[in-house]
Amino acid sequence: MHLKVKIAENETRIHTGDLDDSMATWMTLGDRRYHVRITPISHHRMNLEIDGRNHAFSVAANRDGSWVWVDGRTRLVRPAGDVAALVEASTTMRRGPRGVSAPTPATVVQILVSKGDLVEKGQEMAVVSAMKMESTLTAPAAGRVAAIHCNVGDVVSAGDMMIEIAGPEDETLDDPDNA
Amino acid sequence: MFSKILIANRGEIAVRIMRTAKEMGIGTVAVYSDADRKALHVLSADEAVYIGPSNPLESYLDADKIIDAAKVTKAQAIHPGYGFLSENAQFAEKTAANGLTFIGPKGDVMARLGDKIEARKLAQQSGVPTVPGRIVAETDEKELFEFCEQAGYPVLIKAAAGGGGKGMRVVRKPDELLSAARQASNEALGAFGNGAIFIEKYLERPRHVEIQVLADHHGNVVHLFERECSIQRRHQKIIEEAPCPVMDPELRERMGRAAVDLVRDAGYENAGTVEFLLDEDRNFYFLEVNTRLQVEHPITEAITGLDLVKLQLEIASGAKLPFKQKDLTLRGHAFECRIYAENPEENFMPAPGKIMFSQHPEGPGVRMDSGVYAGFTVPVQYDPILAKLVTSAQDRNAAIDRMIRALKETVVLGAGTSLEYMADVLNSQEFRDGNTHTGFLDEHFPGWTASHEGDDLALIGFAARRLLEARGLQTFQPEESPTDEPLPWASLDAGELAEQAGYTGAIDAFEG
Repeated sequence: MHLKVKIAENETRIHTGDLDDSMATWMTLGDRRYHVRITPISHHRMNLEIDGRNHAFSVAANRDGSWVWVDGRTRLVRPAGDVAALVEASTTMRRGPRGVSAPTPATVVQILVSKGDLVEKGQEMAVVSAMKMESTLTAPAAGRVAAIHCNVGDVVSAGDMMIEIAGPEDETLDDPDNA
Repeated sequence: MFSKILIANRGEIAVRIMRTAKEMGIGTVAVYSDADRKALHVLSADEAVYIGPSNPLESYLDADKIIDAAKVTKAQAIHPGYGFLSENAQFAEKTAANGLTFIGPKGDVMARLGDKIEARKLAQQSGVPTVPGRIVAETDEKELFEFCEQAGYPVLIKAAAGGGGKGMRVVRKPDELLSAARQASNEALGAFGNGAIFIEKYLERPRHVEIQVLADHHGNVVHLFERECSIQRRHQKIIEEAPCPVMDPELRERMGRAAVDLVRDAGYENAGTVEFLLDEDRNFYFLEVNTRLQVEHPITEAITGLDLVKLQLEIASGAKLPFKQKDLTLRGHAFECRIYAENPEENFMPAPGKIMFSQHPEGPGVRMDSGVYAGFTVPVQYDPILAKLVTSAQDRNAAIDRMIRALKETVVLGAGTSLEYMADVLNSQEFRDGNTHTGFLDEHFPGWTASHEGDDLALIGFAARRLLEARGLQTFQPEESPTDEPLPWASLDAGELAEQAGYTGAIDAFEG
């Protein structure tokens, strides 16, 4: 099995053999080679003997990535390289127009722009509050506010598109002179 | 004693109060908002009353709804916990006016101690030291120098009007004084239209040391020694310990007496905390009074063997304190780590989410007060505290080792936490040496990131799990398979990966 993954921004190529009858195999991470024997325990737990040493693992996955706990450390493992690029491309298609989306689950405290406003890159667009801490969201690019999908007081989820911005290229398409 | 109480709070503190109530045979009533329908405090209570929308103003901060809930359920007393309405004097008065007992001080006493200027005056009247300071005209050279000679350098000069850091300057030598005063005054004039300046003694590297007090309705007041809470990020405590590592019996006696005198003179009742700053020369200065149970009360319980909530309930029901000051002793050392849903690599930004899996530490000297469970989605509307981990042992070093061990046993998957950060802080030589002060984290751990040590292990775990899935999940016992949740890795389909990438992209647009 070949995998290309990252923890934070550190990419690693993983290559593994097949599991043998004793649930053991070899793995290489970059140029480091390990012998691994797996004892599955439950949906979220497994035990690995790595080069003869025992490590208890807890695992779970959500849309942030795959969470792996081992030896008191929790790491978020995410796809990297080609897979990540593919995901990025499909995301752009899915998301359509750019805009401001919620960085974490939060409550909308203030909306600082109106539909039709011209905004600059970095301009303050909205204020959200997560767990009593307020944050200001800024425009990722210049453009015109095309739509506002939330109201003050709404609870938004991580990744929810809050304010759509139509960039100059989108405007050109709408321009009748250019048609 | 009461037969039923209502807990006007949520999360770990509500659960903790209910535990003691159950031990005492007292019925428990929870209140909850929309976001907390499945919260642990609701599941832990005998009865639960819905009090409104997730916005705290329309639920946990709505005094009338909470008092109505107490009346409907025939609860006799209200425990406010910490935060929310716990330091709201009108709520305390309203509770009493409705024939219910407020588990805490009387409203008028709470109001006086809650006002910082009024509390400072009360402290001075009781002979408790406050940070020397006064308003001075910047032109009054004589008074400026007089003050500095009395208080000693360094001093802090700031605008008398407004708040925040406007015009704030630290003066370390007499020849810097006049120019600093002039500049501060000019800035104050520009910002507030008022050039008056406030000069006070500047405390370098102070420790935050607080005294726990208990006062009954019969004039008996005791203190339960001190806690040190200097380890703060964003001016909020995350690691506390008891006792303070530089305390000695003589200083403890003086600080304890100061706290007892202050609350006695103020007519205080029930549990409270008097906060002080302790400077490098072991002078202490009054900071404020917290008129409620503190988040970090379990470390006092650990070194005294007492149950503070039980004592609160006994005091509120009119009982006398069951001990005198001379009966109290402290034993061993205790630490508390607050486990928040936050990201220490991004300035401790809240990191809520659904807890997918969790495992609590166990073993000798370990206490976990948790407000969440696996499967619970941490609401975004409230304080991000998930749980408090407390360890105690015979001495400070053993309690540190135990805490590091317990932090490393703790698993929380689905929300970010500071578990690893706190383990690094506890394991640092400076911390082990007890060289703590309120700027400790800013000084020693700015821009902390998790070490890459152990990344390989996590990657091996990731790959091993993929191998198991490639084999099909027959490797798992059927009864271990979840019925209502997506499989851990299999749930990462293209759509969710896209959302994940969308989430990552959005971080670029996020400031603060």
